[in-house]
Amino acid sequence: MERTIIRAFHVDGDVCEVTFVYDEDFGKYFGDYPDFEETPKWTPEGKPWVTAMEGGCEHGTSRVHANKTCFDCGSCIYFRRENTGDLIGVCDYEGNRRTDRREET
Amino acid sequence: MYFETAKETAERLQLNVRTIQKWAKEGRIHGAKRMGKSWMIPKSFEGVNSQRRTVSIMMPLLNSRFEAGHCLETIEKIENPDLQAIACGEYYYFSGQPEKAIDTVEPYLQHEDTGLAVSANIIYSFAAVALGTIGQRIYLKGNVDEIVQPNIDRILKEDQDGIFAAGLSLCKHIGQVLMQISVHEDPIRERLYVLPEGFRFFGVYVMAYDAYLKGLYRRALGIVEAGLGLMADNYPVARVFLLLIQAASEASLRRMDDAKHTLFTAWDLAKKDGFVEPFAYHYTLLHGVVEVVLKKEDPEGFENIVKAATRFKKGWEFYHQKAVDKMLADMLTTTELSVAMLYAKGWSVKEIAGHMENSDRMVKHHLTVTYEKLGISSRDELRIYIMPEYTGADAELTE
Repeated sequence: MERTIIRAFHVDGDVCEVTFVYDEDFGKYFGDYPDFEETPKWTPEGKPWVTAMEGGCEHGTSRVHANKTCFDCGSCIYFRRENTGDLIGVCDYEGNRRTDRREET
Repeated sequence: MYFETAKETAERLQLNVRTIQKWAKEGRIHGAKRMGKSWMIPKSFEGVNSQRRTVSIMMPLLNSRFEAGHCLETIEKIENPDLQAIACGEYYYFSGQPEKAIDTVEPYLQHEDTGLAVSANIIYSFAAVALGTIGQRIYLKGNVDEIVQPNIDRILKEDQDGIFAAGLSLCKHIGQVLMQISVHEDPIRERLYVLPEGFRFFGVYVMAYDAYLKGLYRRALGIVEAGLGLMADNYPVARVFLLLIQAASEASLRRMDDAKHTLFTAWDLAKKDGFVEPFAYHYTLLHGVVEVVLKKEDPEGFENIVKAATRFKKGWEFYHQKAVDKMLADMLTTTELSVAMLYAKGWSVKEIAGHMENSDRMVKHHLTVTYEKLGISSRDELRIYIMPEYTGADAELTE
């Protein structure tokens, strides 16, 4: 069995690769997810990549409690991922999209 | 209480007067008093095999005054062998030796002395949870009444000052609050004053814990402050429990420096007698403070607490038969559980990192591993896994 594997997550025409390391004690692979707060990554559409563990933004809206703010990306209706249960995906909130790269530079 | 001489008792019970004197000397006659060279025996005494002692003999160690570090000497000085055995059971439980606690108190579970039986049942129940391998029956689950009911007439006759009734009420309350089972509704507050001091202060702790569970952290702190303020003598067991719920309440109010100081004070007191179990019981309520304070200061003590906490966590989940298919205790390390619990309570990664003296990246790593282990992907799901009793209701914070 491979000790490390690389898994590619595809969202919005973009891809993000994550290294997974096998934990023998637990018998499972654990992902070493990028820290997008430290090093942001954007899709070609300008949507930010986020992980489920990241603290949400002021636009965060709970998936479970209607019209309630949520404080993490994982609980947010705008968190879109390739497969249900993935810990990585992109933020679909229009206000968080990077519209013009030139403006930012 | 009415008294008679040992000779009168001997005549009434058709026994040898020397037997009565011997029992009195051994402390086997509750309420017997020495008057010069003679013994005065309560008229209600009907022989050692039939007597039902009152609350003064419940949880003898909890009720003992002693300097921290002198627990074993205190137990050795207890003359009555039954009380000494119960005190030993208490000691084994508090010092993280639940197997020995169970072995010691098991013979008393159905003892004819109701006080001994109730004490044995409490110790047995908590030790069984701490051991994580609960048998067929948890004795506190309603059967305190089963023990008491057959003897109720005699108890009421003896218990003219209401001590036993108050003690019993507290025992049920302990089951209700600490084990979180519904057996009793009477408020204990009104009855505390009749209890012996050590037991009374433990009752104060139970009240504070009750307030904590309802998310009323400031109220819990007020109760603890009053309790500690009134505690003139040394009751180390009750004091440790009070300090721990104080630290947990301070941590819930994010007064982390206060919580660390209180935790350290509690450990300074408890370690002298090896009392690790109270820390194991409160581990997840303490928001990682045990780890922050003791990991560096007392690595060996910390390791013992973690060992006991892991075992307790498993027993607790088993006891409550959590409606989840995976047991947290098997899956998460104590650090992961602390991080998860804080995150579930609404702390940010940065706040957790600051509190646990760790990097943001490490906290995120713990969260990632926790999510992967539990197969979840949001804080909402995490809340479902982290038991409500761990997270507290935070009622005061939302006021």
